[in-house]
Amino acid sequence: MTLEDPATSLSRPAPAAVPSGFHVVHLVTGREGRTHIEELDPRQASESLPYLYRSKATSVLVLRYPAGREFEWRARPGRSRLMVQLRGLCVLIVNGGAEPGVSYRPLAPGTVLLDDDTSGRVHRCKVFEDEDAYFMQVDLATSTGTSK
Amino acid sequence: MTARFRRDRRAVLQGAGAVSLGALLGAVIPGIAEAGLERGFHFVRIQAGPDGRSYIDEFDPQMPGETPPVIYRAEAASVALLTWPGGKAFDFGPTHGGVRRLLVTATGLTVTIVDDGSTAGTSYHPLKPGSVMFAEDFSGRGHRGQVLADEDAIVFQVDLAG
Repeated sequence: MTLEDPATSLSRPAPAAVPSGFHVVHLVTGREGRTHIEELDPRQASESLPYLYRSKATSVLVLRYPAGREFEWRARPGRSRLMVQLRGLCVLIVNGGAEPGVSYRPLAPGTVLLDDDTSGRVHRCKVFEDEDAYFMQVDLATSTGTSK
Repeated sequence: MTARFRRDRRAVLQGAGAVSLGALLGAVIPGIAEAGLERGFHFVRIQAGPDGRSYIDEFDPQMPGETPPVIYRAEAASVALLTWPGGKAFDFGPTHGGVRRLLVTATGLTVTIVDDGSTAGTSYHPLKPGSVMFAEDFSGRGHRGQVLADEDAIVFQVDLAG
């Protein structure tokens, strides 16, 4: 999905567009240097991304983002992380997405976001008005080195 | 899966209409109230008391001095994604390895039960997607668990360092 100006035109996604239940979203840097968002089948992920299933970690954080706010989602070169959304409804806005411009992805409880983006770009995430958004973030010990 | 649970669960699932979490829990723990069970996001902690029993309580993970958006921070050793089949039951036991462990339910319904000597003899806590449980009972009888319904439970397990 592409938006011309997500800061002004982004509105609450239709219920049908909001993911429900356990699913895996993969944020990865392409060979051309852009950031890609992939939706992964968890069964497929068990083969191609075994570190999702067991990995050494360095830290775990619980993060709370206030309802109605927008915050930076900063890529962390050389270090992958795993985000589990616990509560709230957000939209992740990726700068320099698959196509030149901006891509976005609704995030809801049950979303697992595997952040392998090493582009160094700063993305954004908007929390909708209903309630604060909570994430558990696990910083993995190394970069997975995954690229598209 | 115990024979009793299998039998009771079948009785519940044969009922008309949607099966509520309370009904599923009732198949495991007779007589429980349904009110207040339909919850997802919250934090609970299991700790061992000096009497050798484990106790469950809800708590606010907010750490003093942390800068928003961080409310809780700890060093971690590993993370694993576990799949527990629907109906799986775990026997009583303390948290393994002597390290604190976070369990985050991604999908499915589970219940954690401790023999804490309360009025009914045991206390339980249902865990739904979004629930976070800190397991810190390293000694004593520990706790047991049960995956409810036919749906598998998918759980992130984070072992903390030290």
